[in-house]
Parts: sequence; C-alpha cells; structure tokens
Amino acid sequence: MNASLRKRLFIWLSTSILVAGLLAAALSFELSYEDANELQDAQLTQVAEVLSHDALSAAAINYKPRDNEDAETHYVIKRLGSLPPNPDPLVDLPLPDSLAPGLQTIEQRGIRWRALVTQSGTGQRFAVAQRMTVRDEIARASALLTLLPLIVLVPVLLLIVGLVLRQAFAPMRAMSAEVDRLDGNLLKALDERYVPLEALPLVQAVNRLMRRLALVLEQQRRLVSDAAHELRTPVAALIVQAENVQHVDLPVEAQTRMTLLRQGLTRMSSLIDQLLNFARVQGATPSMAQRLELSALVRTAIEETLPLAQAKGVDLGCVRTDPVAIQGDPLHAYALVRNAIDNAVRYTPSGGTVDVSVSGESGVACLVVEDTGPGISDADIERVFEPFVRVLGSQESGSGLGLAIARTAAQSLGGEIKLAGRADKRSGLRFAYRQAAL
Amino acid sequence: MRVLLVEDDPMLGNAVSQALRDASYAVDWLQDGRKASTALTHHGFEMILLDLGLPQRDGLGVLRALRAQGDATPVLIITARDAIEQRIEGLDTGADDYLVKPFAVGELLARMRALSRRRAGGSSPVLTNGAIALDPVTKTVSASGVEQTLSNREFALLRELLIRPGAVLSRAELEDRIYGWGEEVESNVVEFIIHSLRRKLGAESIRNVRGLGWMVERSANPGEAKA
Repeated sequence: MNASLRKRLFIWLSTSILVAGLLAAALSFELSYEDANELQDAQLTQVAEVLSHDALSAAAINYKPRDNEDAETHYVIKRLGSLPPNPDPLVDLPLPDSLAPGLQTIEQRGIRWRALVTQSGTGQRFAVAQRMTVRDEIARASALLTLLPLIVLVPVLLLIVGLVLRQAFAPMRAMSAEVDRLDGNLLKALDERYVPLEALPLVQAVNRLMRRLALVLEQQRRLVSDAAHELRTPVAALIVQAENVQHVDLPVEAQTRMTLLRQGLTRMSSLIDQLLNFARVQGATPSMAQRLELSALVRTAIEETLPLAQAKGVDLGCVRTDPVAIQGDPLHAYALVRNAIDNAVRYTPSGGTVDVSVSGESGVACLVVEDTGPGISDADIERVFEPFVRVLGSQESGSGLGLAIARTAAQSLGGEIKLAGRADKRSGLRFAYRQAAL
Repeated sequence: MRVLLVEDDPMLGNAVSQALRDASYAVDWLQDGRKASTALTHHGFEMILLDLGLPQRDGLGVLRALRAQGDATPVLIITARDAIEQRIEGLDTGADDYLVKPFAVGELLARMRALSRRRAGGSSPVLTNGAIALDPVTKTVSASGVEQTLSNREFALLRELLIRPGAVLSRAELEDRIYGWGEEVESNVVEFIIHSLRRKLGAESIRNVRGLGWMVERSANPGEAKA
C-alpha cells in the first residue's frame, strides 16, 4: 500500500505537539496553582504582621462587613477562645485557645480555613483566617491564565506544520505534473534544481531512464527518416525510367498501363514524403518556436493543395480568416495545417466542398476544416490518428499518415485536435484544432 | 550541350542519363566524387548535375573544389536530403539550384534550361506560368498563341499574379500593389479588372480561391512557354 509520507509526517508531528502541549499545560497549571497559594499565604502573614498592633487588631476584630460587600472573601480576624460564638457560620470562627501559633489549615463546621495564629504586642493571641474555597478559586484562576499562551500556540503550531509540509512537498507535486505533461515524443530531463536532497537520487534515476528512452526514440525516428531517404533514390530512378519509357512509341494498351504505373510511383513518392514528415514532426525542436500567423499558414497550405482539389473537382476555400497568431515551430505548425486540409480534400468526393476557417476568440486560435466526405464513425475516431490506419472501405490513396502527423505536430505545439461530425448534421468530417493564441 | 552527371546510384544514374540523352544532351556519367573532381579539371562541361551523398568525396567537397578553382560552371544539386539547412549549405557552397529526389523529368529539364539561360545572361524577363506569358517591356500578353495588349491596371494586376504562379493574392494585397500611395481605391475594381482579363485570356486563366483571393495556375513546366 502506498502510504502518504506527508500524511504520516503530519499525524506524527501533530500528535507530538498535542501530547507535549498537554504535558506542558498540566505542569504549568500545577506550578502556578502552588505559586498562587504560596502568595496568598504570604499575604496572610503580612496582614497578621500589620494587625499585631493592638489598636488595629481591635478595629479589625470588631469590623463587620457592610451589606454590599462579599463577606466570604474577607479575612476573618478572631481572638482565640474568648468571644461567644457568632451564629453566622461564614463569619463566625470559634477558635480554641489551644491552637498552635503559625500557618495552618483548620476545619470548623464543614468549612475549611487557612489561618495564621499569632500574638499582638500586648500578648493577645488572635488568628487571621481566610476560607479555603476562596483561596482555591483565586489560585485556580491564576493558574488557568498561564494556560492561555499554550491554548493559542498549539493550533497555530498545527497549522504551521501543515503549511510547512505542504510547502516541502510542493516540488514533488510539481515534478509529477511535469512528468504528466511530457508526451512520448518530447522526453526531456526533469529540472533537478529545486528537487529536495532526499528526492534527488530518485529524480536523477528517472532522468537517466528518460535519456535512455529518448535515445531509443531518436534512433527509431532516425531509422524511419533514413529508410525514407534511402528509398528516395530508387523511387526517383523508377519515376525517371517510367517517364523515359513514354518517349518510346508504345502501343495504346501499353501507354494506359504506363499511366497506372506512374500513378503508383507518384503515390509511393508521396508516401515517402509523408514518412519523412512524420519522422520530422517527431523530432521536436522547441527552440525553433516563433510567432506564426495562422491564416498565412492556411493560405500556403491551400495553395499547395489546390492542384489536388482541382484535379478531383473539390471546391476548396476559406469561410473565415481572422488575423490570429500562435507560437510554435513553423515546420510542425505547417505540417498540421497542410495535413488537415490535404486529408479533407482526399476524402471528399468529386463535387464536394472543403471549408477552412481560422478564428481567434478569447485567447484561443482555432482552425476548423469541414468537408462533405463520408465522415468517420465515432468508433473509428480515435483509431484514425494511428499511423497507417485507414477507415475500412475508403477508396482513398492517402498515405495513412496525415492525421498521425497532424496529431504529433499538435502535441509538440501544445494544442488539441478534435474530430467530429459536421455541425450542420450533413455527412462529413469536422477537424478542429485549438491552441492558445499569441 | 555537354553535361556531367555525378550520381552513385546505378539505377538513377542510368535513368537520368537516358532522360538527358532523350532531351538531346550529351551526358557523361560518373559514380564517385574523386573521379568527378578529376574529370572537372580536364574537361569542359557546360553544366553539372551533382548528387551529394557520393563515395570517395562527397558532393559538397566536389563543389567546393570546383569553385576554389574559379570554375563557374552551373551546378544543379540532386539529392535525397531536403532539410532547409542542407539546401542552404548547398547553395552557399556555390550550387546554382537544388532539386530533391524524387523529381519529374520535366522539372529537371526546366531547371536546366533556366540555368543555361541565366548563364547566357539573358534571363528572360518574360513572366509566365506556361499558359500565359507577360512581357513587361511591351506590356503585351500571349495566351494560346494570341498576343494582346493590356491596360496599365490589367498589366499591373496580371504581373502581380505571375510573379509567383500558384500563390493566392487577396483583394487587399492586389489593391495595395496596383494602387500607389494616396490613390483612392474604387470599389470592386479588382473584380472589374479580373473580369476584363478573363475576357481576353479565357475564363480559366485567373482562378478564384473561395474566401482567399485569386491566382494563376502553376504550370508543371515553368519557363516552357514561348514569350
């Protein structure tokens, strides 16, 4: 199973942060709770110190809380053993004479007190006392306050950990996207500059593999190209020889057969040209990219295809020529446009129409070639892009490479080809190419 | 006319020699670069047809040596390599023209004729696509053997089309080229001129390409028409 490194790191880090945070919180609570209690003891001692003057202690002992004061929070000051018990349990604190001097916790009638027993200047023993519940409350409140920074810190830390992890794994994600974008004809090494040290060996291994693959692809492409080049000379010889034969007086029957032979040779020669074009568009040279006027490419392609269209009796023309430019290798862009138009003319029967349109709308350049040929069934639409696949039953003498060349060129240009039926429901094929306009 | 053919492929060499003899050229055929260089220093040829991929010494080497001797004999390169860079290299080394295999015999002969005309210094000023021939000096046009004179506008428009037969020119481009700066363009003037040219030269002489403009057809044998 593929475990996500990022998720694992996040879980471990967050758990650690939470546990450490809780421990720190408990410790900090405990310490400040004790601190607060000690502080209150010190206050008690201080009050007792002040009250050891007789006059003050007498006043304090006789002090009665006013109605709007919270009697519970008060210090209670009592002479030991002397006074009759007060019926109010909150204020009344009967203290036996036997209490030892010093700080102590005592319990009277179910209420716990913290009391300091001491002696005034005249030898009068008295106690200063405070209810334990009040003290505890104060201590707890101040201890809770110390937790506040931790409570804020932990979520912030978790958030930061999440962000840092995301950031740290960004190069990996970017790299996957980069690999996804590569197509079979354009193998190039991944950028190693921003790869984290830990992932570098993997990326370098991938790059070595890519270089080996690119080499194999290049060898294969060169084989096709070399083979086509080698074929050119014998085919040229055959064509010249066939023409030479026509200078000899031939019987009419032989002349007809010679014409067929020459047609076959012409077809073979255009197949070789297409093979070379195919090898050429596969060998990508993105450095050759430049600004190209789409309409100008279309015009040249139409000029080149017109003789074929006229010979077949196909009406080839433009219905729209917006001025729109694309970025790309001129060889590839021209191969795409030329093959789109050539293919349409080839598969359109005599008397048919091929309409070419170039449009530029909302940043997208679009080339559409519509013909009135038999069209392609949905089942065949993917297949016709493969080299040498021709739709069954088609009588055409094309090379079977036109659409493969167009698609390879489209991939290297960064555009997209869509084949579909005509928009107006007549029989025919609609070839649409879209690429970002410049 | 004596022509040297340098081609290592026996099949193509034989065929081209035959085609040239059929066209009344005297042909010497050699199959490697070193022999070609030797032959070139001793014999006078009026034209050289040179393959690039040769044994012993490649075609560009032969060409370089030839030009280094100050020999300006027209050289037509015949090769299977058609990458732009190779064409440029061939022409820069001193070739006069370039033909990619496979080729039609007609095209080879037409290019050879063009080379010898240029050599003679009499490169024909007549513009033609094979069917129509336009003489810029007399402003006369001949089509199907009939010679006619043209108005200035008709001449200007037809000349633009004949400069590159087979190229489509749009209305705006034609207007641009037949009107000077600041001249006011009358509407439909291009259609009007084309209409009158077609009346003189035949309906098929100038073709309309739907949505793009007009063109004259490219002939298989440029330079064949008689001016």
